[in-house]
Amino acid sequence: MGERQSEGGLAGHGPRHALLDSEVEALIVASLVRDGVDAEAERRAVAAFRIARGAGARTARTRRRDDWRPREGRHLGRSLRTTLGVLLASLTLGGVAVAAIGVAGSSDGPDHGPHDGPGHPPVSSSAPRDPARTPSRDGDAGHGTGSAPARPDRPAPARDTEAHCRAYQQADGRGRATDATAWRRLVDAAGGESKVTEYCARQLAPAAPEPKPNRSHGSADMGSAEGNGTGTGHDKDTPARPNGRSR
Amino acid sequence: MRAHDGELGAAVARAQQGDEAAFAVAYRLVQPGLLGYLRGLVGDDAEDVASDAWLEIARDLGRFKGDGAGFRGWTATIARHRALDHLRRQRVRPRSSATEQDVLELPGPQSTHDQALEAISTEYALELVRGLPRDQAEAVLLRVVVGLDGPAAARVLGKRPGAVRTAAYRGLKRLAGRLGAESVTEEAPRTLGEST
Repeated sequence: MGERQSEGGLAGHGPRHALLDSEVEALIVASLVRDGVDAEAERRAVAAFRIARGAGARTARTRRRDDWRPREGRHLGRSLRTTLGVLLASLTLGGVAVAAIGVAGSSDGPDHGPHDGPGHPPVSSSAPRDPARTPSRDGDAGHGTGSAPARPDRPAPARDTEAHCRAYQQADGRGRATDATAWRRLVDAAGGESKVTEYCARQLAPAAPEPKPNRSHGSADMGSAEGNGTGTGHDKDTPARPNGRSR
Repeated sequence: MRAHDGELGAAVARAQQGDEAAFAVAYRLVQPGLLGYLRGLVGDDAEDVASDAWLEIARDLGRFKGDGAGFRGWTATIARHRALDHLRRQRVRPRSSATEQDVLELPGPQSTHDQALEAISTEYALELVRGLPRDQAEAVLLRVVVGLDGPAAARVLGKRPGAVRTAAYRGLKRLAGRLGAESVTEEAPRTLGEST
């Protein structure tokens, strides 16, 4: 407020001189702002403060209009949340993608990699589609982005099951390559360890109408799996399936 | 913008922790500018409106987040709402006293520029400011009297910074024109009659 002292400095100007902004400002300040405060008014304000303090007003929630932190700070906070949201979403997507790669890769036997392509379009095509969709969803809020992209075309659990089943079918017989959690879930979903083979056959049947490239290899594996005693009951069941891959 | 913003921010932070003396410090730092702003809005009722505003400020202090400059903006927003409420209640008695014509008829100093500036009374300056369109008057007051920067003034007014900058600029030019014209009486009517 140093402008106030500049009032006297105007003496040298001619009468037609248009006032500078700073001169007008100084004038306004000098005219409208008085230093010092009315003691009584201050006492009332402080009394109000004391009452509010006694009423526990300190814990009151900050509303949007009470937040006067510098813009950058608020912006940073928001962008940090957004960044975290994006990060979370990409981790989720990454997980899905890795799972898809794992499935595709594991079913790609060394012998018949190229033939496998058409058999798995849902997995490979849905994964890349998600990242494009995610950022727009992310723009408005950072919440929920973690779960949203995980269910694109069909429910994630179904895909999980399918993936686990594939892994199971591919891995079984060569030792159980599916990790423990996935295996336990698969057992839960199937309703028992002995029903897993049957369950998986049912799960994979509609999703893979052309299991040809897999069959020779897969059935051989499954055969050995059955031989391990995972249940004989399936043998009655699976032949009924037109596409039954395990038998 | 203001020299005391650092001191003010510290006082507010301590007041938010319950320090009564710090609250008084903040009050003394903010009240003069706030009162000047309110004088421009509600004239003689500024003291009463400021008292109302401080009750609310004291009550909601715990909600506030920000530094000294932010506190000026926050308190100005509260004071403004109280002032607008006050004006709404008073609509039966509209504040038409500050029309440009009234401003013209106020006794203005003659002859020389510096005389004009020395002789200007609070009353007269007030009427000049209040003779501005509301948006210009408020923009000038918030920037000059309260000491807010452009974005903060814009937030208080709920407008875009560009609009507030323009309003402040026009308001100052208009005031400058009037104050400058007062010392050149022959030209005054024509100059003052123009609207920017």
